Amino acid sequence: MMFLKSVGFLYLLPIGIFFGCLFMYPMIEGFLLSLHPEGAGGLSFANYVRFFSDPRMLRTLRFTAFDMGVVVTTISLFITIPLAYKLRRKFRGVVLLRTLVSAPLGYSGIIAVSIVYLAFSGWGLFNLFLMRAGIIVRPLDLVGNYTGVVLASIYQQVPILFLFILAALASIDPTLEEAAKTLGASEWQVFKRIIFPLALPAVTTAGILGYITNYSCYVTALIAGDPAYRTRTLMIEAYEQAYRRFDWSMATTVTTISAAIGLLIFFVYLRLQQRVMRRGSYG
Amino acid sequence: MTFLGPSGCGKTTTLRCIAGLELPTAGRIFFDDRLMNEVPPHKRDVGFVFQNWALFPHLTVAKNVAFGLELRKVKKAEIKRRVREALRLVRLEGFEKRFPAQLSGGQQQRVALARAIVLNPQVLLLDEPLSNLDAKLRKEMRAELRLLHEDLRITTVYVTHDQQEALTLSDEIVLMRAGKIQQVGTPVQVYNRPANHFVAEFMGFDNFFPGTVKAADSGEMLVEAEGVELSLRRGDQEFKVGEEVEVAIRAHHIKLGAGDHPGRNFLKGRVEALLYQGDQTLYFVELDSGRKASVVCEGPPVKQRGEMVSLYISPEKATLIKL
Repeated sequence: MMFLKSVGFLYLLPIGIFFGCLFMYPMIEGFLLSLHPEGAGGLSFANYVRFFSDPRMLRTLRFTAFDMGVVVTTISLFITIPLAYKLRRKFRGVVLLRTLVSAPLGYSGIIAVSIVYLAFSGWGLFNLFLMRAGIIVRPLDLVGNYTGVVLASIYQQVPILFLFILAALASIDPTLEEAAKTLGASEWQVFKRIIFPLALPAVTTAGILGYITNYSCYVTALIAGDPAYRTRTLMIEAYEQAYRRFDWSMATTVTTISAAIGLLIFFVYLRLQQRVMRRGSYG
Repeated sequence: MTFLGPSGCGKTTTLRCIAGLELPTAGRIFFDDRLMNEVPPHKRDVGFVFQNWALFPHLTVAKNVAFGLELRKVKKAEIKRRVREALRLVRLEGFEKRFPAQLSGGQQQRVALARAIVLNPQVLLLDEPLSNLDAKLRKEMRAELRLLHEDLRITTVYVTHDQQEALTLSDEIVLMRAGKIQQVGTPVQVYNRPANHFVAEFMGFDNFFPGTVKAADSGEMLVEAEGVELSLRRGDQEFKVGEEVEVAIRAHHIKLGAGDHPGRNFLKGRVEALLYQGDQTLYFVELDSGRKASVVCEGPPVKQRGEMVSLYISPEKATLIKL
């Protein structure tokens, strides 16, 4: 038996090697590199001290973790949940509508961002429409800044959240809604008390995934934003440290901090999920 | 009242129309003298127990039952009292903190019932609530539902495809087929005096003999079927002399006699096969006309295969059906 058991583990070896080489090894190597600042001999936390005492770096961190992560994901969720709710049932044309919402998934990030850039730039349709309608006189500055990055990120994030949440909503037994209605619940009360609580685990998962994707945002912040200043993200910082300044040690410091925050979020999320699963043994 | 019929006959749809979950394409629905067609389901004051019970999986038993009360902004203490009372009625005290997934089928069914009756609705609608339970539990719950109904006296509409359930639980049965009502009547009427062939077959009549009405007196009917004159008791329906009819009778209401028995109400035939079933025996008899009849007699076999027999069609048990 013991022999069989250890043979069983052997099957995991290829994936173990693969995982170790491609994931663990670079991360450890990167972390070690960050402890060897340029010009200093031996181990040192100087890069980390530098990172956390530089207001520019801290602003980048805040923009990445808070604005790109929390703000964008929250807005996206607010857009996606009602959309998915309305499109959760079959009706004429629902497939077409669902396809339209998830369309941005079909093309690469650069194209998606460019579409938003063109649509909301000074000569884009949106501004032209507002000017023609006489609502504004001069075009609004919607791209090349904070707003641009937020708009482009939402545009790319909504489809991912949508597919996730739609699947969760569609799997809720429709008789639960009917039961709630016969007990006196209006549509809003059905949503608040039945549908939303039942979809919450999926909504959280979608939110976390959305957060992590946005958090590692690079192209969007570069094209639609103001990458030198307001919309600088950790990825842009890492890239510049590595390939403009050739300070690989600082670059790996930035990526290590970024990875640490990402892992922390995942860890907290998985712990929460486990607790929810242990408490409510429903479903 | 019970809607009874085979699956797909429209009984559940009718029930859902009463609840407002579906809109009727024609016709009007009244609660007392209030027209309900335009009233949305959450304002109808109905209790609905679904076939799959539709308990909210994320809420405890107590929260499930309290759901409707909370929406009606009933005071906390009052909710607690009424939830306890409803759970007592369905004999589920002590299960307040459980989640639906931690209950057996029968218990879930009771929660669904408690959740509906706690609101003391104008109408209680039950959509095959027992069909997901095993046979033994179904029998128990049937009796309990009957008692509960007698306690609460809420107007109840019950949907089922099980004739036994309908007979036990109803004051009135509506038998439906393919969206059309076949018969409305008390369980005794529907069971003994089916209005047509479909109802008769659905209510368990096994034997149908086509015939012609020979005479129709005030109390007695004379019908010629299978070459024999049958004297029958008159039902609620009017029959004309010369009308083509069917004589229907259940297998266990036919009496088996010696093969040469003469006279009215005796059909002649030959035992084709027999099945011993413990406390009864099922005979398949081929009549002289070639028609098959099934007969059930108490006790072990008394006739053999190939033996000539006579079938006594009792005037009290047989019923006439219009074609």
